Amino acid sequence: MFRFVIRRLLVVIPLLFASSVLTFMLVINIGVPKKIEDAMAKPNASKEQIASLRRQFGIDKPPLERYQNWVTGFVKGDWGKNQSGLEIKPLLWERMQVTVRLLLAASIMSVVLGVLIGIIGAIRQYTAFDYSMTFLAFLFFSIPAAVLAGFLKEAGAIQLNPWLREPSMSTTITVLLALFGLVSGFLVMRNRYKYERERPPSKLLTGTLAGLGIAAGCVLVFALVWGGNTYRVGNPKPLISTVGQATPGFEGSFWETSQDYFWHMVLPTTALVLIGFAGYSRYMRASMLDVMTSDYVRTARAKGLKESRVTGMHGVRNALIPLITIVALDFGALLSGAIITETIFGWAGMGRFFTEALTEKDPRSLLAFVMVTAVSVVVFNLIADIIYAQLDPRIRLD
Amino acid sequence: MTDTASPTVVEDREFSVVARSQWRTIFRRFLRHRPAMISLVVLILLTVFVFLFPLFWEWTFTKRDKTSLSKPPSWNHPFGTNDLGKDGLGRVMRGTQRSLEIAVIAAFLVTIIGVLAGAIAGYFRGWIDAVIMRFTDLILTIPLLVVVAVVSVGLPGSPWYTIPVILGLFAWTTLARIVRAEFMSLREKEFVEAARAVGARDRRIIFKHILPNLAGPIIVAATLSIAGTIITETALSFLGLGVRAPDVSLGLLIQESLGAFKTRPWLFWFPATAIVTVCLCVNFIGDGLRDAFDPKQNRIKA
Repeated sequence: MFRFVIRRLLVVIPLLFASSVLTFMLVINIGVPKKIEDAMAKPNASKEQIASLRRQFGIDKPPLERYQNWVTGFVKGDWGKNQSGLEIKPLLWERMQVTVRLLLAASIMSVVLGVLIGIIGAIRQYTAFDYSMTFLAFLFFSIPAAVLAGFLKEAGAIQLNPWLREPSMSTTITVLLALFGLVSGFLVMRNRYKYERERPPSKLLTGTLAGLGIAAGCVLVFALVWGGNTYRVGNPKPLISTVGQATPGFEGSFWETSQDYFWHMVLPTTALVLIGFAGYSRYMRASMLDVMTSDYVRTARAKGLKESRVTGMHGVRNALIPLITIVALDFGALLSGAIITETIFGWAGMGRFFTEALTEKDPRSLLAFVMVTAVSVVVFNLIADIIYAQLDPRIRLD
Repeated sequence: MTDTASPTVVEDREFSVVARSQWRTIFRRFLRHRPAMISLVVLILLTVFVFLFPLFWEWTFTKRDKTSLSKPPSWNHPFGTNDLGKDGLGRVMRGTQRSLEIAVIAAFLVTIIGVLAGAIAGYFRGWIDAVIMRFTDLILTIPLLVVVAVVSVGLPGSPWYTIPVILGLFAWTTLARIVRAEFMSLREKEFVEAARAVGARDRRIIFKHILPNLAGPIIVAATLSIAGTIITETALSFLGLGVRAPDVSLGLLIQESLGAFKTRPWLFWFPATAIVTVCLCVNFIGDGLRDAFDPKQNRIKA
């Protein structure tokens, strides 16, 4: 495996080089940086001023020399300054942390949700659950990020915020919750015992108990935790924030800062999870269906294993293998994955870094952005291959 | 399968069962896929509507009704008006037209380039394969949205059809990989050897012998890339890099409406519904086609 990694890394270096050349060619052809463009647009712009600006940004030289200058600096760790005079490297590093904070949580949640829904959909194929989840997956597949995020920002937060500020648990809601628990408890029991010999003592009883439990839990949470929450009490503004990744200048205990982060993350994370889970649940369902009709699952059943063991040990574990590759690849694309969502919710992450670099037409920033994302794609590609080989003994890397 | 030809028609023949060609089987399977059929009907009706109804609708997408500015949906303006008095329905119809046109052009280009590149790479192998595959690796490292955004910044004021062309030029790599993998396995098959033995040229083998075997995956990928393009176009327009005003596309309408969501929510809802409807229909059709082309699929109930 060591040899495999070395070999792959040797392929990666020319690939990254080529990708930087392609980006460089694209970037130098999109026109002069915004600052020079503005300077040239001024009626009284003198030739000397423009020439000195061009020299300052190093674009007075021929392309080859510019590329050489950039690449030597980049490799040595000097990524240059952007149009506003800020050092690119620390700025990008800061933006990257913001994006990772947002996307890591969202990706993990969408993978877990997608896997669970996929498994259930495959085991209980063609049930109401399967059909509705299939429809939901297709629906979220078809909603552009701008529409979903825009909707959540403009409509979701407005509806939820007043309620979150003064959450009231009226009798109607309690009764509704209890009813919901009753129905879902009943459905769970029905599904659970559909394929097994033993019947529950009473579906109605278990369902009612579950419903009462859910209702009581909600009441407890609101009564005890919510009322004494210092973050909520100390902050007069709406809880679910639609702008930014943290309250500017907010200071507080670790518990309070975490809550501040949390409320800022709720909406973008929801948008990303909804879009992300759709794909995973389809993959997982297909992969699980494939595995559950395979010979070794039949053998496992024939040996007399319990159904739960067959699905858990023989089914899910094998069905996860192809999914892990996809997940690893998606994690590689994570850094550039949420440009639209970040823009809508005003997060100062990689998305903003990119859009700013694009409007400023700043070659160095754009190149730095592409290189960082390219490295992460390549690294996670490699990780995907290694994990795949580790999990599937039929595949050998060397 | 219980389908037999009706005995009244073929009584004089020896067998009453008519052999069904592969395409006919696929077509029948597709017809039985209910979500796909519903989606197909909806999509056709929608397309006909957005292309024909503007001919009879008095409010074009640029015409301003100065007597009703920022008005919610009414009898005169079923989709409301924006702050300049432009009719929502006219703009949504025009936007849907544009988005569909962009999607179809991009999907067409993606399919043509992807199939050709994949076929050439997988059939000839050698250095040409290496070049094409390294290029797809390259595109894989740079996110599609980033490439397309950078290119379209460099082309300010360009007409709308540059967007699908740019999308087509960079989005073909996935399809090329699929086609290449299939070609690499099919070129070793006996029927290719037989074709070569009777003197068929490379071009004939590629297009007449190997490519028809790939019709399924290619058609499915082409269909799904229509939905993908519409979504990418929305993202591009949202960043201000897609279709530019005064022209409209669905993405541009979304971008314009989000700024004033609180005062004019109807300007958001109608284009949003249009995008989701089109993409949902296309995705369901793609799913139906995939099921129809899948040789392992033989279930009776759809």
